[in-house]
Formats: sequence, structure tokens, C-alpha cells
Amino acid sequence: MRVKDLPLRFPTDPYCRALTRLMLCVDDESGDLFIGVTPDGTQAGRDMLARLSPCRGEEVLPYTVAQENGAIVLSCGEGKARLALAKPDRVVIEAEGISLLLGKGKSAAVFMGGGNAVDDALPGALYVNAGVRVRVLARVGSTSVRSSWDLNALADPDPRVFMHPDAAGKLKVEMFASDFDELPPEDEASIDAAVKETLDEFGRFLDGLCAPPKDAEALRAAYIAWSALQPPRRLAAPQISAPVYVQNRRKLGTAKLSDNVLLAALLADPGEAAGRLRAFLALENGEGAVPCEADNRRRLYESELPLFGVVFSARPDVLGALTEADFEALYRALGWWREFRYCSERGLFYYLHRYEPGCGPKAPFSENAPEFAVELNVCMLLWLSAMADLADRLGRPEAAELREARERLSAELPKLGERGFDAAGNELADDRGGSCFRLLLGKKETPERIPAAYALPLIIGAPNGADLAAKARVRGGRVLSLRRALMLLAADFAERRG
Amino acid sequence: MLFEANEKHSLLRIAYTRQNCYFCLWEDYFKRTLYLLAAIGGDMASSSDLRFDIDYLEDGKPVRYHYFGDEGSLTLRTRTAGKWSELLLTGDDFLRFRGERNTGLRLTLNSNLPGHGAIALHSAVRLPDGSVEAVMGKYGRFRFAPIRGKVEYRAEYDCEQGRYARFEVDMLPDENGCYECDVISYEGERRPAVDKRSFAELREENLRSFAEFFGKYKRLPDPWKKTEEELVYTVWCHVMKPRGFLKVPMVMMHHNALSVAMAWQQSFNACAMLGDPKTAFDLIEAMFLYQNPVNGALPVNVCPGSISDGNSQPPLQGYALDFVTKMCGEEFITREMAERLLPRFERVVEYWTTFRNVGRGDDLAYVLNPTEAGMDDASIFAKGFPAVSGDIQTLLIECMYACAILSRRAGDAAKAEAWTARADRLLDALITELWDGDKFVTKKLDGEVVESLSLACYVPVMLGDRLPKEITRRIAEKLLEEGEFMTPYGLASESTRSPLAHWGWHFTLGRVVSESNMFCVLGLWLAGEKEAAKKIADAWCGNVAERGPRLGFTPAHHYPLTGEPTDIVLMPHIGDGWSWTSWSACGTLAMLETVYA
Repeated sequence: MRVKDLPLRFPTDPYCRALTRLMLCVDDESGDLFIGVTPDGTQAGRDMLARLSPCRGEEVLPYTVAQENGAIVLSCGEGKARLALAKPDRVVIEAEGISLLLGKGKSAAVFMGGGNAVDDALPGALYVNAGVRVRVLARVGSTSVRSSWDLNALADPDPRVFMHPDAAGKLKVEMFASDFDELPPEDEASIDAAVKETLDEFGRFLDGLCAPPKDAEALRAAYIAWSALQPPRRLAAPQISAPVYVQNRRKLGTAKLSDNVLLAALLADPGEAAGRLRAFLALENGEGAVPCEADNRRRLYESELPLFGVVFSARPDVLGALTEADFEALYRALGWWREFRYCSERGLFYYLHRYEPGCGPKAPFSENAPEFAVELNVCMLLWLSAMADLADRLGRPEAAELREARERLSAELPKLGERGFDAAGNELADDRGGSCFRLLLGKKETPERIPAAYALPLIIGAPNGADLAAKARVRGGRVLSLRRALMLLAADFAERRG
Repeated sequence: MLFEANEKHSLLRIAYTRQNCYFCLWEDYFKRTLYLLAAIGGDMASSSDLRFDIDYLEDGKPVRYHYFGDEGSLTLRTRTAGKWSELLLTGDDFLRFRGERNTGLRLTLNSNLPGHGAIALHSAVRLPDGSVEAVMGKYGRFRFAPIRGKVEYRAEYDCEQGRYARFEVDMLPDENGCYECDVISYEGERRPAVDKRSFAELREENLRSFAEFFGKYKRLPDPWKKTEEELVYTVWCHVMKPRGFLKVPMVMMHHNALSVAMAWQQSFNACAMLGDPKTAFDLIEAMFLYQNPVNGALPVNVCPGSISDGNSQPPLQGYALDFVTKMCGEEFITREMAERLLPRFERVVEYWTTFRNVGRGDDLAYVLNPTEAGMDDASIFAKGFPAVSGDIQTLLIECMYACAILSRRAGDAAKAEAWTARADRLLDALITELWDGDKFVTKKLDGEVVESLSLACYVPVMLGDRLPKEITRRIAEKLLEEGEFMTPYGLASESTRSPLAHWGWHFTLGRVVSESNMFCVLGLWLAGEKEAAKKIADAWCGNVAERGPRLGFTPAHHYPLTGEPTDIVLMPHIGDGWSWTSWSACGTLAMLETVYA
């Protein structure tokens, strides 16, 4: 799909792209333009590392900033600058008639990591904030630095890197962001090439969806989803080995297993969808647990409602793309639930800990754990079914026992009633909305209320997903996070599936 | 070593724990009760959510208590005769509690951050065997497992806030009035079984571990024996065992502030382990396991939960290797050890000479931020960064000499010669560029000299006899000059007549701190200025003998320059000025072993 511009709602949405950490953001209060990076994990506050402004000497000039034809344009009375993002993680700036200033950001400082502008011996100048190094390299024009030091604060109170045009008034700068010292690449990027590459990549992402976005709102959701893809980085102990989709580019740089698994269902190419699953299955901890969240620096092993079966049920072709190695990884992950969350006397799966339903910290949970919950057992049934089919296709010896496990669970499921029960046998309160998961087994109805936390798997997995999407009002709301974006895309997916 | 409330070895200043244990006990200054911290997440204690207050129960009710004990275990007593509880920490990820005569204990989760309360708890459940499992996010899981008696818990969840408001665990007696309970720390779903060893056996194991740890050091003569015990205890109880990101044993800096393994700390500790140079080598090598794969830099610190690799600390590893081999010989370094470490060492040198090179065509280097300097707020950085200071050249020179040592031990004489020559050239540059006849100055990249009265100007004396005699002699004179650096407690980090001297919250802007005293003592000693070295060592070590191995000390109550009262940090607070720290302990041990052993 040819895309003429990125469908972001600038300046509300950050200007960013897939597989890069850098972004351009506008501050709500001041309207100023900032460069930032997606935070590591839940360490918020790196979205506004340094303020970028046109200047005359030390004086910051008033300016406007807008998005035009795939780039960001900064305009002031004396000239303008175009900005775009190129790989690997650089901002490319081409300006005419103006100088630019990289100044104090709004990001939270780490210990002794506050803003610092340095004219060191390497090419260009260095702006450091919150542990991120931004090397400013003037390909045309020059750079200079103004710095001072507050011995009490152990910080530079007002670090500044200046970018000056050449005698002809032209300025071309690249800014590279890194967690540590790196020599900048020698190859030069251009705005036009960066914009074209960005738009082409986004277009390919749109082509790769099962259901092309049908309106501007869905297109924007696609942009938010696409740009949420973050690369693994070369660290001493990296915690992810493949790109993952993070929850929120500006605020929450950690990837949820549930988001990444369910996104797989929306990708047209089953091989690519399988890759989404592999990205997390590779992070299994030796007991079979797959982290519920992961990013470059951390994994959180607090198992949540497993949604693999929902994806396989909605997309049998994805199951068909899985290999022997995938089967083994999924079998280990399934094995965690069978070993640690299965009651053989009852023949049912249960939650032990209150975070396991995966619907957020404010959701209710029984005081009498464990909980034999409907949504959990439905999802396990779908997963067991898929695994049995996969084992059959691959001629695996596990096929028979998986079929048997599926049959047993299927027989026991009605005992859960509408909602399930706790350890004392009391019916669970339905405030979490887990009973809606019966829709995934073919129950044809539209419930009164679609629980927000479960809307996405329900829309993807239920035959009447489009009705559920309408009921959940996925359109017309604020879309700032990956989850909300996926719900919009899932609505189109469900409608197309019909 | 005897611990007791209201005595020198109270737990107001000293962490009660042991080698390989991530838990530690402290006494709360205001409540006068003990509390338990777990240094798994690498938080500063002041911002740790994982804190359990400990209440002693008699007949189910909290009562005031007194504590005493040794490295093996602690006893909690009240006014009621015949009633007691006991506890001990182990190096196997669990704590053991026990008591008789209807006593019990209560652990209440209570974050050190105001308003956080029981936020660390993600979930608490009763398990079929009667124990209670608590999932604590980045802190891992804890199981409160009764051996005798029972465990009760109260976990109140606030749905509106989306977190736990309260979490209390009571260890309660059985029908005979006895209880015994383990608190077990683990990750994952496979829960470790309750350890079958008795309280007495575990206590013996603690005492044995402590006794064995002395073997890492040269034994000290009287009158230093008591001090030696305190210092060795302090390091022993800061040893971290492998867990999470931590792959090999390393030494934590503080249990209550930077509860992580700092990079240069491992080298400081190596300098002190002159009784066991192989362990010293292991500590020097430890940080290289986390070497940045792109640029070769070493991270700032490591702990089970994280690797802090956004910066580097000063590359002290070379100095430590050079010092240990000077004191113990090189023979303990096998060819295999040398061949393994040499390329990693060379990469670190390459990192500094690439990314911190002044750009004159030689190896003269600068530091880019306080973390790289180690002496965060020294006045040599009053004009900011980059700063071409004597300390970084010194450490690079030492790294190059260390590469020569490793090359020699690896059997490559030509490479050893090349590294020695390179080190010698940088040494010449250090003297030529930065020695002004009185001190080593710091310069900006454009050559501007930074006026400073910092002790950091003399830290290159750590090169010892590699420096010309006239330089080390002059340094000895300056350090002992009246009214400058010398105080009754050791060398002040900023001249006492400096207008910048600050003895409050600043670290190396005036307080008498361990690390620069160690550099000066060891350097002067090796340079042959033994009398000067001993004077400084007497002052520092004598003070530590009296007040314990704290990170730093205020030289006086008034600033000599102005007569104004000293800036202070109102104690108590959770921070480095308050507690005994392994950094100070190992620095003091290194001084004692060099000068007195």
C-alpha cells in the first residue's frame, strides 16, 4: 500500500517508526519540540531528552512545528528545518537559514545522569541525558557547545549544543542515540531517503495485515501498532532476542505477551505471525513459564491468562505454519500450566495468584484462591485442541495424550457453570467478565457488557467479534496505547472475517 | 563479634547478615525494632519497597524487645524472664526463626517509601502444606514455611488503588508454646523444600563461614585484632552470591544504600585480599563478564535484578592487579587465567583510549561525567566535563601495566614489553602535562587549568615507586602540611582551607573518605615514604577502630576558613554516611595489611 504520509495525530502522537527508539515529541504544556527515546521497561521519562529549537545566538526563536509529507517541519521567521528518522536510530535534519539548539530536556535524570553537553574529541558534539547519549554530527555546517557545571547538583544546569549553518545558510545534521559510547556510522542519511524508507515500511506493514484499515482512525491505530515495534539491543545481558511490540512508545517500553500473541492473529502472513509467538516463547525460564512482560533489560515471570489457543482458533493457518521446534516450545509453555495450575481431581485449571487473570491490578479476585475460572479453562481448552491438532500434523508422540487431555477438559468444563468457582466451591463473582469467553466456544450472543481487559481476545476469537467490537465501542475513543490500537485493528479483522 | 542493642555493635549502623545472603537486618532508629531488607532488586534502601518490620509477640501481642547475638544468630528478649525468640540468616536463601514459651514473631511489609506500604506484594496465598507464598515482583517470591507451630497472614487488597494495603505474617507457637519457621526466597514456581538442618547446625555453619573468611586477608597484629574482626565481618556480610544477573560472587557496597556490586568496589576489595590472591583475581575479573559487546566498556554496577551499563566507573582493575602482584607475587596467575583475562583487559584500555582520548595523538584521556571519576563531586570537576585529570591517567597507566603482567604470565614477552612501553609513555605524559611542581592539576580539553584544592590532585601517588622520588616526596610533604588535608581522622578530600570544602552531604568535597586515603597510604608506602604513609594510616585506621568503617567522616564541627558550623545531614537517614560499608572496610584492611601486617 502506498502511503503519502504517516497517519499519526501530531503532536498528540509521537513521530516515530518501527525498529528505532528515537522519536520526536511535542510537550503538551509548552508546545516545544523534543527528541526522546522509548524508555526501557517501566522506567518512564525518556521521551523528552532534549529540546530542539531554532535559535539566533543564544536566543530561542518562536516557531511552529507540524507534520508534512512524512517528515516533521519546524518553521520560524528566519527559515525552516525538516526532520525525519533514519536507521539506525538517528534523527536527520535539513535546515535552511536557521541555527538550531539542542537544550535542556524534561526527562527524569538517573543518578548522576542529568543533562550534559560536551564538546569531546570525537566528531560532533555529545548531549547526554538520563543515560542516553545523543551524538550530534553536522554533515553540513558545524556544532558548538555551551556547558557549565553545578558541583552541588552534579549536573549541567542548562546544557546546550548549537548547530550552525554553513556560509550558504545550509545545515545538515544527524543525531544518533545510544545507551553507551559508539562511533557514529560514516554513511550519510538524507531526509528524502529516510521519509521514503519510513513510508515504504509502514505501507508494507499495512499490506501485511489480514484486514486493511478501513478508515482514518484505523489507519492511525495501525501506525501506533507498527511504531510500537522495538528492536533487541546489543547489551551485556539482553533480555529479548527478537523485536517485540511495546505498550506505549512514550511511557511504557515493555512488551506484554498478550499484546504480542494477539497481534499475531492480525498478521496475514502465517509465518510472520508465528514469528511473533516465537519472540516470547524463546524467553521461557526453564520451568516452561513465558514472561508476561519483557523488554531489553528485564523479564517478568508472572503468568497470565494464556491466549495462544485464541490465536490458533481464530487463525488455523498460523498453526499450520508452526514447526517441530515451535511445537516443543509451546508444549513446554503448556506444560507449565499443566504442572503448576491443573487440579487433577477436578480435571480443571485454576489461577493461584491474583495477577493471573491478566486484567489489571484493579480487577477482583477471590479471597479463597485457587480460582477455577471459566476464561482460563476455555483458553486452555482451545490451546489443548490446537496442540493436539499440531501434534497430529507433525506426527508427534504427544498427540494421543493431548487429545485425551482435551477430551477430559471438555467434559469438565460444564461443571464451572457460568462463572467458575473458588477453592470453597463458591461461584465466582462475574465482575471480571470471564464468562464472556464462552463466546469463543461458539456461544452465539452479545453480552451486556464487554470487559475492557478481555475485549481484544474476544473480538479476535469470537465468531461475532464485530458485534463485540461495536459493543465495546472500540471506535471513537482515545487511542494512545498498543492495546487500544490492536482493538481497533481487531474490529476490522473481525468484520472482514464476517 | 558481639551485636547488641544500645552498644557499639548495635544494628543502627551495622547490617546484620552474612556472606551469600540477600537479606539483612537493621534496627529502626525511631521504632527501636528490627526490620528486614532484601537487596535483590538493587534499590537504594531508602527507596526499597521490600522492607519487613519485625515485631516480637508474647501471647500473640507485640512487646518491646532487646536483641543480642553474634555472627551465628540473634536472640530477641523481653522483660519477661525465660521467654525468647531467635533468628538467623543463611547463605542458602532462607532465614530461620524460632522461639518457645508462647513467643512468636510478626513480619509486616512496610515500604521505605512514604505511602507505599505493602506495594511490593503482588499476591499472597496459602499453600496446601500450610505455608504462605508471597509474590513480590522484581524481588522474587517468599515462602513463610512453618516447621513447628503455624503461620497466619493478613493480606488486604485495595481494589480501588489496585494494590495491597497491608501484609502481615505471624509465626505462632504450637500447643507446646514453640514455633520454628523458615522464610525462603526463590524465583519461579518450583518451591525449595524446607531445609532439614537444625537451628544449631545452621548457626555453626554461619560461624564457620565467618571464620574461614579471615583466610582471605593477612592476619593483623595487636592492637588491630578487634578492628580486624569488625572489618572482616563487614566485607563478609556484603558478599553476594550468584543470582539473576550476578554470575559470580561479588561484594556489595552497602546493604542500605547502593546495594549492588559496583565495578571498582570489586577491585578495592581485591586490594585487601592479600591472603588469597586467587580470590582477589576473581574479583578483578568479575566485572569483565559484563563487558559491553560493542565498545568494551565495563558497567557501573551489577545486581541480581539489573546491569547498569549506561556509564563506566574508573578502571581500577589494572591498579588492583598491579598492587596484588606487587604484594603477593605473580605466580598465582596461571597461563590460563592470563590468557582469559588479557583480551578483555585490552578491550577496556581500547575503550578508554578510543572514546575518552584527548585527541593529541597519544593516550592522554579525559572523564566525561562524575561516575567515571569515582570522586563524584571533587573540586577538580568544578568546571565540568570533559576533564583531563590525573586520576584517570593513573588508572589507565595501571591498566597498561596490568596488560603487561598478564602478557608476561601468558608467555608473550614481546607484548608485555610493548604494554610496558605504552604505560611508560602515558606516565611521562601525566608528569609532563599535569604535574605543576606541587600537585597534579586537572585541565579542560582546551588546556585551561582547573584551580582546585582537592585531594584528588594527589591521588596519582598511587603509582608508588613508578613516580620520580621528587614527586612522591613533595606529595608526602603536601599531604602532611598543617592546615591542609591532614586531620585527626585521616586526609580530608578537600583541603580544610578551601572555600569549597563541604562536610555535609557531599562525598569528596571535604569529608575524610576511605578510598582516597587508601590510595595515598598505599602509594606513599610503595614509594618509600613510609613515615608519611604510617601517619595517615594511623589517623584513618585509628578512627575506624573507634567508630567503625563508615564511608566518610566529618573532620571537625566548624569550617577552619570561616568559623561557621559544619553542614550536616540530620541523622538518622538511610544513606551512606550512616552505616558500615564494605568499601570502607576493605580500604582500611588494605591499609592495615600494607603498613602493619
